[in-house]
Amino acid sequence: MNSLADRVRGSVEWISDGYRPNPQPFGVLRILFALQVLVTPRGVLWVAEVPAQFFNPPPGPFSLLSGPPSSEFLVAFTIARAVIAVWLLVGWRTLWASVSLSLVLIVGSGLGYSFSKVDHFILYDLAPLAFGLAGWGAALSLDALSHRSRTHGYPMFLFGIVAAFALFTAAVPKLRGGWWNPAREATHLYVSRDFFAGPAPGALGQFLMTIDSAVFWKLLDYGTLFAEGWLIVAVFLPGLFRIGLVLIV
Amino acid sequence: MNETKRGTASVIGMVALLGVLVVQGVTDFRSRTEAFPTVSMPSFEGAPDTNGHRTIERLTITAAYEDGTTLEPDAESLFEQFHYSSARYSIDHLLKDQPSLDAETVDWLRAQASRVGHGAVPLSLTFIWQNFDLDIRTATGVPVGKPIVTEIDL
Repeated sequence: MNSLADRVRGSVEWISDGYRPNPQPFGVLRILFALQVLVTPRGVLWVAEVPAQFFNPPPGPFSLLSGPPSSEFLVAFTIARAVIAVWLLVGWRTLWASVSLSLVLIVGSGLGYSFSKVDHFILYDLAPLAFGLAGWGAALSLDALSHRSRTHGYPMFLFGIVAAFALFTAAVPKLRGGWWNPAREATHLYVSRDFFAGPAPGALGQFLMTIDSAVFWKLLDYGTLFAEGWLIVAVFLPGLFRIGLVLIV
Repeated sequence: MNETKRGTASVIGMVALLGVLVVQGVTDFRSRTEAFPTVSMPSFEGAPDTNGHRTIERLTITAAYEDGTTLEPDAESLFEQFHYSSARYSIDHLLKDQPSLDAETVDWLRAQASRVGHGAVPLSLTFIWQNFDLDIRTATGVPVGKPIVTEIDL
């Protein structure tokens, strides 16, 4: 009879196998990711162009900075990021290129977030690290020409846990804040608030405000809670997790 | 590494990752200011009351010019140089509480007021933070309490 430890090991192996990427499309994703970083990178030069008095980094390593970096540093950073993107694009020593890209993406985000607002693109920043470990250089790369390598599901499983946890952190405060209450239309509040106080909503927001149905608004609330909350369970079933990702998109 | 050792390492790795995520999540949750880098998503925590009302804050910016005209640019237009999502938060952080602005900041604000005014000479920027009781069904609000006002001579 298998011990509990054997069963847990077997389960993790089974789950990881379910997340193992196909090398060819994974290689295409690597190329597209690198091209995106190369062609439409997140701008950082503005950090040195606005008054330093607005510099207000978040708690964490960026709070060690006494002020915004110089424009020379940011130009050098931008060039380095582009070079790393090309490095990833060609797929030479892809794991190191991936690790390097995640590092520069996090540094770029941290500098941009040092003006009183942390945005939530951490999964994007961490993706090269996870995908590099999972072997997105196993096809369509210089690495693939020099030696055979395979993709791995385990890093994708761990990245799935990270993504599921991130979304779970959005669901828990909503539950605490009353989204569960059938008489409190939370999504309606945020659309209405944007109308009244800005930033001005787009066409979808304008259409939504024409809908006067408590059932509709509560379904949006419950749908949001479910889509964000259930992934922390679904991540242990690769097929279900994929459906969850499609739902949340 | 044999199969059993590799399997054990995989389980330990998964449990360790979950532990790290929970610790950083709880720390971030308890912190008044959001930290970075952390694995988290925006909460949109609040909900209106059961009558569809909630108190919200609205920022109104007024730029006054030498020719007697005024403009009401939104935060994102006035702070166009900032990353879009940082504009409003940067205004709140620096300008809301009796700011003591240095010359660089005043010069920059003057340049932004002139830019949104299409070259008109700016005299002042006034930032007004006012709470409103918002009716979510009509997207209308009634002022609540006194506003916070910051006027910057340019």
